[in-house]
This record gives sequence, structure tokens and C-alpha cells, in this order.
Amino acid sequence: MVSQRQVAAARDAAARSVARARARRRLVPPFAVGSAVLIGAGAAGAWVDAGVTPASTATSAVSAAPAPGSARGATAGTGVGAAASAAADLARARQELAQSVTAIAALGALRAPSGPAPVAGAPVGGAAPAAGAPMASVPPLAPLPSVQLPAPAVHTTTGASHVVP
Amino acid sequence: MSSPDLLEGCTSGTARHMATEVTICLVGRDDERALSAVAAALQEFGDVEAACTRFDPASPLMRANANPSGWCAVPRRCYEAVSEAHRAYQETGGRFDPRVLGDLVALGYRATLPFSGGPVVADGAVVRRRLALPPWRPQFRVRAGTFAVLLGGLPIELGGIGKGLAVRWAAGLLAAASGNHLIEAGGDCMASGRAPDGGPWHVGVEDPAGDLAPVAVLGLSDLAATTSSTRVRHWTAAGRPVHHIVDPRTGLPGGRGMRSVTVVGPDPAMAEVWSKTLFLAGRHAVATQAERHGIAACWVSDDGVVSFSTAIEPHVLWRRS
Repeated sequence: MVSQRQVAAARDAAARSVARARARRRLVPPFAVGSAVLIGAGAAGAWVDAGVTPASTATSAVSAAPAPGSARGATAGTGVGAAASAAADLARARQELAQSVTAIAALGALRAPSGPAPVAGAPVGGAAPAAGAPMASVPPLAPLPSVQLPAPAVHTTTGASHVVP
Repeated sequence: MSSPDLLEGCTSGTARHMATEVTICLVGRDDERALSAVAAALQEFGDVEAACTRFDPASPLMRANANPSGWCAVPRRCYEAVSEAHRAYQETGGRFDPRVLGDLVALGYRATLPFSGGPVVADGAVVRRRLALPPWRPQFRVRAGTFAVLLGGLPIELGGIGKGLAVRWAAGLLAAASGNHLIEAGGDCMASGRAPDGGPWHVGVEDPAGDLAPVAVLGLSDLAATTSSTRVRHWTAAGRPVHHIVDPRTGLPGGRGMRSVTVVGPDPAMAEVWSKTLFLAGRHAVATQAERHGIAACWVSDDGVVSFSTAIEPHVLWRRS
């Protein structure tokens, strides 16, 4: 018989993971990330993978508790449904994170047009926006003002012949 | 504008010659020998002016000009000045040519003009292009210590080399007293040896637009710096703006697009010659001419852009950005 407590714990864990992912997106201003160096698909993918527990893992984590898969009547049925719901939540979170990474990568491409086009992190489930999708334009940075050092003192000056009446 | 504090420890002297103020600074000595050397160097300017001025009809040069196709006895300084002018003519391939006296007179610059008193208008001036001059072949003769020249058919004026020659000869007189000295004569400078602080002399390059700040500062040792500029000597002739740097090929003011040229070199006379020659090359050819002849030069075009030749770069301490 699946422990309702265990199912609830699994659900809470999934919810926390989703909340963390959402918070991560809020707290990272696009322009700040856009101005940082984005390494591209590998890092983006790694970040997505590191930040989100894969559905299989989540499923496994959910399954780590006394297996909800073991049929235990109604309680067992409830446990399986909760795990599937958590897995779906995780998948959605993963997809959203992938989309965010793709957008940030595109932003970086806008700021460094000569570099290689960023490759979107591997989306998990669902379609991700194509790389290079139109993003809000980032205003160019104003050039730093040049600093003119003062001229050194001189012993004399060469120039037009001064006419003395 | 120089900083007087930098010249502390110098024996200095100032005199008025060639319609300009001449200043000499001798480093490290403060005795009778130094004072005598400075006085002799200043007098050199007076001697050259007396022998070579075109503004005195009785000067030896003007007596020779009165009979440009015949022999005329002249003082040694006048003889040497005409000889140096011919050497400069040959070295520049004719781009420096002192046979522009008639052109200056036609443009209204027949006497000293009041350039320091505001806009100048020359009466009775004629602004007309003439044909190119034939080759210049003056003759020189020395017999029993007397000097004579035959100018070759046309009168000459030595304004394009005379001051530089005076600076050269004055520097020679100072060298016997000290190898460290500075001569400034109406914009022509000779910086010999080291400044009082032991470093190179700092020579500012004037902004031809009239700004007090220089366009560049040069560090010089045993080098002259001379500037050809239209900032002062310009006037209106026959309703047209003209200046004193006449193109010997046309008889008209030359140097299209140029405001000033400064040349650095070991000899002040040739620095003066090349400053005029490069000026006359005009804005579009000055860089090519400077590089071709290896001239250390900087110039300001009429749009205010300051440019530097390769050879002058080692001497540039500061430049306006």
C-alpha cells in the first residue's frame, strides 16, 4: 500500500522543482544574461539538464519511495496519478527552461552578430522557439568618452612668424 | 606659449630682427663668455637682415636685384645666402625657388605690411597667374676675399630661407660657449643639446587656427623645427584673399587646403625650405612628398586635421586628439 505521505512528498518535491525553475527565470534579467558569455548548446543543455530533474529521474524519485507502481488498490492508483502529474509538471518546467535558454542565447546572438549562431538547448517535450527568433532590441552602449591628457609644458613654440612692428 | 619656469638656469637674450622677436637661451652658464655668445648670436640676425632684406632698397641683395643679369659685389653673408638658396633650389628640384619677388610685389607685398594690426588690404595689387620660370642658373665668384653674384636674370627674395640661415649661423656661434641652447626666431627654432632639466627641448607646434593650446608637442635635441603658416601673413589683394607663400610655378599663393606645415631636421635653413615646399604641395600631396623625401613633418589642413609623417613620430611627445 502506497503511503499517502510518500506520494505527497513526491508531489511537494516536484512542485518545489517547478517553483525553483520559475524563480530562476524571474531573477535573471534577460539583458544581464544577454551581456554575459553564453557558451551555446552544450552549456545551455547542461544548464537545463542540471536545473531540472528529468522526468525519468522524477519518475524514479517518485518511484524510490515504496513503489507506487505496486498495485495497492485505490491508494496505489492515487500514487501513480500523482507521480504522473509530477512528471508532467517537471516536463513543463523543463520545456519552459529550455525556451528561456533559447531566448537568452538568441539575445546573445543579437549582441555578437559575427559569432556563430547560438544553438538552442535541447528542448524537452514541446517545441522551442527557433534560434535567432526576433527579440526585443538591445540599445547599443554609448561609446566611452576619450580622455585627452593635457599638453606638457613647452620651452618654446614653432608657428607663424610673429610680426613685430 | 612657453613656460618661463622651464628656462631657469639659462643665460637669455632677446632682440628684434627680421620683423620678429628673436630669443636665445644658453644652458648652464652665467658668465661673460655666455653673455658674449648670446649677444653675438643675436647680432648675427641683424647682420643677415641687413645683407639680405628686400625691404631696404640699399641692401646688398636689393642692389644685386637692381641688376639681376650682371655681376654685383656683395658681403659674404649675402653671397652665402644666395648660394644656399640655389642649393635648396637644386635639392627640391625647383619646388623651392626664390625668384618670386616680382610675384609678391604684384600681390601687394612690396613693403612690410601691418599684419599685426588686423585685416590687411593691399592697394594696387594684381592677382594673375604667370608662366613657369626657366631653370635658375645663378653664378658665384670669389676673388681676393671679395664676393660677387650674378642672379641669373630675375630678382630674388630670401624670405623662404633667410631666417633659417640666420638661425644656423647663430647656433654655430653659440656652440662654442655651450652645446645646450635654444634659439627661437619668429617661429623658427633650433634646439641644441639638452634642456635645463637634462631632457630634450619641448617645442610646441602652434595651432594655425589661433588656439593657445598646441596641436602637438615635440621633443627635440640637436634639431630644428620650422613652420610655414598662413595664420599671420595674409591679406586681401584685388578683392581676393592671398598669403605670402607663393608657388614659383604660377606666381600665385599656393598650398591648396593647407593651413601650416612644420618640419623637423638637423639644419634650420633646410627645415625652412622643406616647410614651404611641403606647404606648396597642397593637402592631397603633402603626405606623399614628405614620405618620399623622408621629411619629419606635421601639418594642419584647412579642415583642422593634424597629420604626421613617419619620420616625425619618434619626436612626438603629445598630440591633440
